[in-house]
Parts: sequence; structure tokens; C-alpha cells
Amino acid sequence: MEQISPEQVEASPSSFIGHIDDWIEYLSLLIDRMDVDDFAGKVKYQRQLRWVLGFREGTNSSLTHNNVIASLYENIPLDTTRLIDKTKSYTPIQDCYKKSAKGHAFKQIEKAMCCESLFLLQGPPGTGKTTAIVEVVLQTLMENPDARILISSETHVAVDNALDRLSRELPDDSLSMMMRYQKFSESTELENPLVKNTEASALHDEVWQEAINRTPEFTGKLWERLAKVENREGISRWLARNLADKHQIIGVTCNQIEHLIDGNTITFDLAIIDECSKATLPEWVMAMSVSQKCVLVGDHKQLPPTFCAEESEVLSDLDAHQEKLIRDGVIDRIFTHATEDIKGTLLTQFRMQPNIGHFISEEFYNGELLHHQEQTTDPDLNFGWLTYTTQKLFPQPHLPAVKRVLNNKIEVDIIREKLEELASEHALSQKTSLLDVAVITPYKAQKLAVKRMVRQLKLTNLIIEVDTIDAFQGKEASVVFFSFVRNNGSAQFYGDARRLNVALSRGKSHVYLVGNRQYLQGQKIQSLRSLVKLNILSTVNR
Amino acid sequence: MSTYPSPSTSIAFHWDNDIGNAECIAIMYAIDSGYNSREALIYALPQFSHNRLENALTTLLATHLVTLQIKQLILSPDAMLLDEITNSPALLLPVEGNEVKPHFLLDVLKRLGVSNPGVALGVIKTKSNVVESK
Repeated sequence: MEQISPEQVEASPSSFIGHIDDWIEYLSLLIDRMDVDDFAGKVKYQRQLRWVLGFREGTNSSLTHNNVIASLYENIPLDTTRLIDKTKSYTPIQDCYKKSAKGHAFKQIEKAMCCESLFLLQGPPGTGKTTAIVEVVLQTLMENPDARILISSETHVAVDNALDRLSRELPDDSLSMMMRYQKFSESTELENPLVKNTEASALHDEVWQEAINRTPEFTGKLWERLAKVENREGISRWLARNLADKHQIIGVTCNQIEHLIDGNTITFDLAIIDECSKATLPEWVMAMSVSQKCVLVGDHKQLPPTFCAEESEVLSDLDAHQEKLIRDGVIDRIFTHATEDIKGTLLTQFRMQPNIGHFISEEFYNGELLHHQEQTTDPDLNFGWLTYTTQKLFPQPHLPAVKRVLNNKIEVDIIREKLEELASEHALSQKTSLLDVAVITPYKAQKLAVKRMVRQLKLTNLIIEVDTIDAFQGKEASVVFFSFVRNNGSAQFYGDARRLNVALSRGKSHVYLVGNRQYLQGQKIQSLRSLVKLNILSTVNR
Repeated sequence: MSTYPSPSTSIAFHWDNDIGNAECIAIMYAIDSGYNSREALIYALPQFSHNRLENALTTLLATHLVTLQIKQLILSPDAMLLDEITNSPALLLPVEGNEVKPHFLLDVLKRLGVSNPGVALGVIKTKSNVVESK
């Protein structure tokens, strides 16, 4: 009998299976090194490992996904004729697409609908990713009213926004087909308050109440008995899985999908994974694995996944190539290799004033973005520098590395003064609505310093959110301050084109660059050099 | 004169994983309470999805914990007793660990009132531990 040599069963390092094996190695190392007491962390990585192994073994819903991704990863020509049904045609459902049914955005939706396996949708900042997700869901329901749809993302806020927006497009009585597991995030501002009724906890109460109303004595007995099946705070897994089966549209983060899935789960017809470029491979694999068709929505020109200190430490033990692949994710590579019929890019940005959008387009999207808005703010004043000159250094280079705190008091003061100015201007304008402002920065220490300052300011007519760039991806504000902090050392961290792209594309009408322009002038990073050419709105000497 | 401690083994009974889930237990309790048709089960158990109830019912029929007679679901007379046994604390019996064999377990179940211990052993698992005497 012919024997299989080890070489024959080992995956080539450059193949997709090879990359999955990198992940298996990394997750195994991570689990191995975790603190015995960190039970929750261990469970999370064990779960990811299980799903990655399952995907490698082909136990997921559609093996076509495995083949398509493997081909795209290795850039092997893919015959997409059997993946696309070109006979289908669609009519827009949402008003925004009805205005131009032949427009570029709706064509991307049509392509996604015609694709029967895996579709990649790139959505640069403010181009209406959520609107596109909602349209794909509505079209899928129109085509198959019984379709089961999973809306997932690595962040709660992305899932919340998609469900919230979808709920506004569905009639109120259709909300009963939706479930948000486990619940909407406290920080998400919901536009449709009724959508809260789709939270799993509300549905939990609803079904038990219904049972009590129907069969009070029996339900009481059953409640007591089932409490012994699972001793868990919140919703028991058995009920979560039953609720998931009873609902057509499920919104859940990638990492919580497993709570809803077991061998008896009815597979999904469609999984939409939002912010897929920010998700790690196990995260998007978990969502993809439970569905026949998958639409990956994201933007590989924005930030890749983030890794905590513990994860980074384990990553650094892998070889450099493995580490880079895991850190950067593979969405970029898959998207680049995909043929036009299984991918699409949304090109009209609706968020930013045209002059801000133009900069983003030229620097990060080869000038391909179009701008929906008219220029309503003065382009000489809405996007530029609040800069300073100083002899002080941030961080102080003479201190040992561990003591170098990345905050900059001068920039905090500049932001404070400008916030006060904005608050009085807004008061004078007699607008009743609050002005939403965001202060974003690459560094946590500066975030904390700005937060302290904002707390003391007490400006009642502004809503001010302070965060790091990485945490602010997916959000927006009318006015954005970007505090650079550093005026010496390496600017490589925030000079990363993907991070700069996110930082500069959050502001709808104004983006203020708060930093030492002189220092940035000396940097070799292309995007920073382009930024330096923007207008100087004010200069102070401190 | 020295005394030898008598041997002692604890035996705990658990439902097999296919039966010990919420769906199977809920169906057994529902039939026991008189909800003994497909429609009645769906009515009494709105917490459960139809497909999961159907799967669980198939399991219960296959293991003879439930039988079907002229569209009526009949619960095995042992089902609720087995549920009580699986929820009770472990039994402490004066036997050596190696004496805990199928025929011994059949005898224990019979003494506990199970009318068909053979079927019972197919749906429950046992865990025995030798208890060290002080």
C-alpha cells in the first residue's frame, strides 16, 4: 500500500491552509501561556481555536467559501461562473438607491445579490456601508421571505447600528423577526427605540411570560427543573439557541456566535460581516462558517485588527512572516486578488465636506472617491493646523523608555481653547441641537489627559467624545480634533496610512490637526508630508 | 483486636447528554403534565423552537422514554423517576469499586423502583467513586 509521506500532508506555508496553521499555532501558544485564573480569556481563545480547526477540516456550512478564499489567498485563477447568477435583476428598496437605480452604489448591491457564495464589499469612510448592508438584507428577504440572516461584526456598535438602521426600514410588526444577542451596547445611540424589544433578554421574558399565561402550573414546575440544567447568569444557552432558531435576523458579535450554535441549529442563508478588516481571521471565520452565503463588508485601507499586550507577546514568538500576516489580516490580500464580479467598492462618500473628502481620496484611495455633499464650510478654515512652536519635547527623550509618557499638555491647552471658542460660537448661532465633537489621538495617555480637561470644562452645548484613533473607527462627529502628541522621535505609529486614514476621515464638517507642524515637516512618511501642506489656522508659542 | 473498615462506593446517576438537555426534559415534563400531543407540546413550550422540539422528541422516541400510541404521546413510567434519580445526591453503597458492574447497577435501579432498568441504563450514565474511610 502506498504510504503518505509527511511532506504530502503538511500544508505549504504560502497556502491558505498554511496561514490557518499559523493561527492554530498562535492560538495554541496563547492558550498555553494564559494565566490559569483567566478563565474567560482562555475560553475565548479555545473557542476561536475550535472554529479555526473546524474551518480547516471543512465542517463549516459551505465548502465553497473555503475554496474561494484559498484560491484568492494564493491568487489562483477562480472560475466564478458557477458562483454568480447573472440572470437575476433587482429593483432598489431604500429611497436613497431609488434616486439612482443605475448608480454605482446600487450596482454593487446587485453584484452582491447575484453572487451566491462569497462577496467582498469595500466601504471607504462615510460611503454608506450600513445602508448597503440594510439593502442587501431587504433584497434577500424580498427574494426569500423565509431567509435566515446573520448580521455580525467584531464590535457591538457595528452590529447595533446595522440592526437599528434595518429596524427603521422594516414595518414595526416585522421587528418580531429580529433578535439582538445579547443586548445593545449602552454606548450606542439607537434611533429606533423599539429595536430594544429585540434584545435577547426581552425575548427571554416574553417567551416565559407567554408560557406562564398559557400553562401557569406546568411552567412553574418546568422553570424550577430547567434552572438545574444550566447554572448561568443571564440567558441560558439552551434558551439563546432556541430563540436564535425562532428568529430570522440575528445580530451578534463574531465571538458570541457560538452561544447560539450547536448541531441542531438551522444554518443561515446569509451572513453579513461588518468591519471585517478589523476582525481577526477566527472572528470572521466563525460568522462565515454558519452560513451558505457570506458578504464581507469592510475597508482594508483602514485599521487592521488590534492585539492586546499579551497577544502581541505571543505573536512576537512566531517568525516575522507569520506575525505580519496575522497582524495585518488577509482581507487586503483576498480583496486585491478577487475578480470584479465577486467584489465591489462603494465610491461616493456622504460624510465629509468635499475638501476633507478630497484629501482622503487622493491620499488613500487613488483619487477614486466621489463626494455627495456641497461645500458649505469655508475650505480655508475647516481643515487645517492648530499648531505651536515650543522648546519642550513630548515625550521627554532623556527619560527611560518606561517613563516616557505620551501626552502633550500644550496640545491639551490648544484643544481646550478651541472647544471654548466653539461652544460660544454655537451658543451665538442659537442652534437648539448640541454640537458633536470628537477628540482623537493615537495615545492612551493623551486621551486620559484630554478627558480630564473636558470634564473640568463643563460645556453644556457640546457633546464631546474623547478616544484613541483605533477605538474611534466606525464612528463620526461634526468636528474632529486630531492630537498628534509627539514632537520628537518616530512618527511611524500614527504615520501608518491606515491609522491616518481613520483619524482624518471621522469629521463631517471640520477637522483640526493639533500638532507640531515643524516636527512633522521633517518626517519622510508621504501622508504626513501631504498633511503638512494644509492651511495653518493658528500658531501659538508655548 | 483491630477492626477493618467496610468498603464504600458512591454512585451518581446522570442523564446521557442526548437526554439531559432542556428540550428533552421539557418534553418529558410536558407529557407528564398532560400535554401529550405534538400540538399540545408546541402550545405548552413556547420557549422552544419547533425544530429543536422535533429533534428532542425523536430522541425520546428512539430511547423508548416516550412512545406514540394513536397520535398520543405516552411517557415511560420510569422517565420521571429516572429524572428524580439523576437529580438526587450520589448513593453511598457498601461495595468495592470493582463490584459496580452492569448487573449490579441493574439491581440498584430495580431496587430504586425502575420498572425497566435495561432501558434505563441506555439513557443514563453512572459515575462511581471509592470513598476512603477514615
